[in-house]
Amino acid sequence: MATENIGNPQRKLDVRDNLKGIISGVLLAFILIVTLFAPFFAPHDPMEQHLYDILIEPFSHFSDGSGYSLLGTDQLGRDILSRLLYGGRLSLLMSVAAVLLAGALGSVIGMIAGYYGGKTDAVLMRLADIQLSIPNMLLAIVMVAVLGSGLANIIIVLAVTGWVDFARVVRSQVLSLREREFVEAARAMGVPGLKIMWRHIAPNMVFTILTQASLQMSRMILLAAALGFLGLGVDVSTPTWGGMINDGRSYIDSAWWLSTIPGLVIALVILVINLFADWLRDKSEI
Amino acid sequence: MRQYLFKRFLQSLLAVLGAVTIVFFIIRISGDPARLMLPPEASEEQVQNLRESLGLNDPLYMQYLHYLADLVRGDFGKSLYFKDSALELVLERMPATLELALWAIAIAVVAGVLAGIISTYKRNSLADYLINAGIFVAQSLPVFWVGIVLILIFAVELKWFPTSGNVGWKSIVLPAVALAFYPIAPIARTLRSSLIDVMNQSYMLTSRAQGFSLMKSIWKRGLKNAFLPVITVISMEFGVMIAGAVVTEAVFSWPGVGQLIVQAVNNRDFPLVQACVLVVSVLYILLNFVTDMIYLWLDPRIKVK
Amino acid sequence: MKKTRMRWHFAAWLLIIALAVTGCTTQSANKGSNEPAVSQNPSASQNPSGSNAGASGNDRLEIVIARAFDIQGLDPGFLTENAQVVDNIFDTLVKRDTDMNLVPGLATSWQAIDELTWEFKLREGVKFTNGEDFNAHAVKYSLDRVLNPDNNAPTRSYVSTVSEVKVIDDYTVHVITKKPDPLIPVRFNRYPTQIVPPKYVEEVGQEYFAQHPIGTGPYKFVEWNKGSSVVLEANEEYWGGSPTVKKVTFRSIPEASTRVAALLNGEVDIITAVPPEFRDRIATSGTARLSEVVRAGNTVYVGLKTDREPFNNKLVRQALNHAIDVKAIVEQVLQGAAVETDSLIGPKDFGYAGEYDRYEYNPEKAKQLLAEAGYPNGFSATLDTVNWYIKNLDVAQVIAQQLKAIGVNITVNNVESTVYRTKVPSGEQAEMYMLGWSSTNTLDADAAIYSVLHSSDPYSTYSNPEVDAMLDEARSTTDEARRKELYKKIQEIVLEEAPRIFLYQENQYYGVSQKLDWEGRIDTAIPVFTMKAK
Repeated sequence: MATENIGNPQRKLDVRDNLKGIISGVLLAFILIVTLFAPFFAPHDPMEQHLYDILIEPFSHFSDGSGYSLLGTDQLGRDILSRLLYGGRLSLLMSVAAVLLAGALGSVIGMIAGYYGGKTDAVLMRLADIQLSIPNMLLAIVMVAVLGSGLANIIIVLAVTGWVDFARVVRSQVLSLREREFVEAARAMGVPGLKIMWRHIAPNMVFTILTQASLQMSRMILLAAALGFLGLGVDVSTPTWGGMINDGRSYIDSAWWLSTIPGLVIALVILVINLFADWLRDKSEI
Repeated sequence: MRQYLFKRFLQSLLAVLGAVTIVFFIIRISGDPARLMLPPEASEEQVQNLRESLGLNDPLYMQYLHYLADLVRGDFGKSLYFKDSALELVLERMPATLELALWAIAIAVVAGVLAGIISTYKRNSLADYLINAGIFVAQSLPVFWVGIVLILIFAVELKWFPTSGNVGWKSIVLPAVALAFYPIAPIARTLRSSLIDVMNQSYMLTSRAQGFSLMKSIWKRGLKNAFLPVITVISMEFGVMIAGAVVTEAVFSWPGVGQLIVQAVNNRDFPLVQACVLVVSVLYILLNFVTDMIYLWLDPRIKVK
Repeated sequence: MKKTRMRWHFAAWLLIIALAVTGCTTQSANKGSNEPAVSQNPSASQNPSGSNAGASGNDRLEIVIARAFDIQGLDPGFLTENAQVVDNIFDTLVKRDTDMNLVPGLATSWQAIDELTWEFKLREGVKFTNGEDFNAHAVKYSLDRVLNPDNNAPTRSYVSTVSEVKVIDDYTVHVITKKPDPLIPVRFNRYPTQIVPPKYVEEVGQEYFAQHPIGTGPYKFVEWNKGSSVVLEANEEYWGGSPTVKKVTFRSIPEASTRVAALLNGEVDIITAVPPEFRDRIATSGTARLSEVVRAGNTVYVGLKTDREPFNNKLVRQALNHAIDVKAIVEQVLQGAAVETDSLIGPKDFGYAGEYDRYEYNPEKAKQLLAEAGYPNGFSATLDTVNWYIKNLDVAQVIAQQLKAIGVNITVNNVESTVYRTKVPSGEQAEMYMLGWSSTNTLDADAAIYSVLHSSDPYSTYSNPEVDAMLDEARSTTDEARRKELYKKIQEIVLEEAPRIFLYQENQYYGVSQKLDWEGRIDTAIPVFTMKAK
């Protein structure tokens, strides 16, 4: 009697996991386009207040004739859909910037540590470990307390919480790549270390880095939203997803959609990104 | 073995030192620590006095040593807002956060183990697929949002539970459930993959061939090995949870360390912030250490690096 | 077997670590016990409705009051906030009844025996809850510690007209003022004049006293769980009679929705600071009712730093006033929880001079005035706001948007409560800042406007020698007609000068359990002693 079948790996992968990639990829593209080009897609100005149309339900009309509100308005009569789009733009830009920063920093450190090994490796990894001794959330909170809020600071804080994972992953890849023949050959020929890293090792790690980047992306969106929720995010007037959820808390029984919709959106975006990252990871493990 | 134990202990100590150092530098980067440690209305003279006593005019390495000496003595400074020993304030709140984390991890373990077992048993069926999708989604939901939705449904609409605070046993249900969502996924997944591994082991096949059913075989031989990685994951997630409780406590006004940290940060109460971060970090490191020990205890066969 | 022995070693290690951690944490936990805010009282469990707070028939009446902030200390002489909790532990010489008339407290009578002297006759036979006697010596001690400049009492200015308190005999004191002060009885009705026990305070010192207070009041301090609750229990020996409510817990629940839900669930009996959106919910619930006190709150405004550009230009200030649609803010954003006003003085205060409706909402006129003043393209500024006022962030954002419409670009800055507390009096706030002021429990125009108009006061960003002179005269003459006249004149000048953007005065809303008989008061006090079961 066969054990529960692991199935035919080849076929299952083709159908199911590529489907995962396709769906998440398409959704991700949609989300990115709609938020990055928020000014085009947003039906209203996210800051425009309609004081006589506050807390109107989704699918209602504005009383002053400015049109339709798909997702309702908040306590100052601002259109939620528009704020979601602009907020998304901010969240995504912040996270992308932070991921790029963390990725660049982490990858470089990981590569150096992995390639040169020895003392350099030990010191760099010790640094990583030291940072890991404080849970990310706490580190972020303390840094914001000290640096203050504001877009640049938040990006820095996010990046600081992310570089370690990049460094680790890159380092282990480099360790295995280092022993490969083409690297040995290059070294034998006297090619300087940096050049080897740049021309031979780096290109082989694109997939790994991309996977890690996607994972970090969703983590950072979540962390940024959490900080915004706690009131430690970007300034108050700019719409952010975390901030919108926090604002909506007071209206939870009269206008529950204020908190619920942004939360759903965050969850959806993270889900899509995680799916995508999952697919990338599957692909890279072949 | 003893060598390994000692080495790990040293590593943990180093990690604690690391946390302490990070906090030390962060506070000093932001400007004048003496200013930070005093209430805003403190006079210039008071600031100067504190600078002297903190040794801020000494070279940096000396300051560092003084700082360490103070910490070892348990002197974390006085909370600016509450005017009490910062360390005591944190320790006072610790049990509430631990209680929350413990219940949350308990819920997560029960749910995760169930999910893991069902999805293993009914591998590749609809149930498996749904469960996998379910836990994947659960992991993507922001915990503060889950908290708000739970409040909306169970406290506001159905009125089964209170919306906040720590009044009686009902208060812990919603926050614990909210906090439990995230770790269910890693627990279930780890259990599933390790059960699958175990089921394919040779001694399992032997046992099956001898006529024992699948469940019994797992029970007799495989369980310990199957659970090993899970226990590690549980322990790890517990540590992460302590810190993640920050947001949950904010949503539910749960009087734990997380809420204290947010209050402290909002009040610019740096001695308290410092105390909170250090205590939580030490706990976190301790948990990692304990995780390793558990791992070792359950399977001494594991080769030490 | 070696392996087994190893395992026992590890087990032992784990056990030790676990015990150590539990030991440490529970030890400190016992010091500040995490006891639930509501007492599990055997007699209370007989209540069929299941609520374990509130009335349990004729048995122990224990209540829970939830406010938005925790206290910062319990020393009435050194408060940096309101005296709602402290007023239950201590007594003042003069009290107010529910109609806000001044009535005897620890003093049985008082009168001005000459221009600079008020005589108070004190109640005999009163003791502090630690057995110490209440007498003239205690009164002098309590005032002296506040008046002493070395002690830096934060509200010293409330009694700074007093030059000396003299003990005449055990139960008579003379309060001697620097200039004639018509407000002495009123001053002795509020903090920092509560009477403290001299011997005890000397023994334990100010800091300990602030955390372990002892007074003559209807309630005794039991414990303070920092950040969450303060517990008081009835003082059965109270000179005013044994209180009906035997135990009261003041909880701090910063999130409004949580606070309201707690009231509706029966977890708490009274809540303060009910935001507008929850009023209906409370009013229509079966378990609680809404208690509205109109214009009992702060008069909120946007202060302008009139010593710098462009706010030193009267036309600019007037323009800003015309640009704000206060009606929309009050009706829509605050949902009627405030009353639009350009009076600096509340209607129940002595010296109230009426409403003027001076600055109608007219953005066109505003732009015109700006252009006249030399700013046709507007300018930029920062607006500080703080969460002491209903929906402060929303109001600030509306103001910012409305000013943007006339070309003034505002950056809203939501400042932390504790930071703002010192920022404003030290003059470090932004050039535009939200602030609220009122006469609180003095019900007199002097308290309502002196601090925010007089050029010498840290809370004022306005300087007008004419107004200064009038303010000083009004607080040192006992001629009531003259005082009224002065306050009217001041109001008119200030209205025209517009050193602020006039907004509104907040109402106050309390949520009260149906089981309790109590209504909110204009003096914002919460005297638990007056509460009874319905």
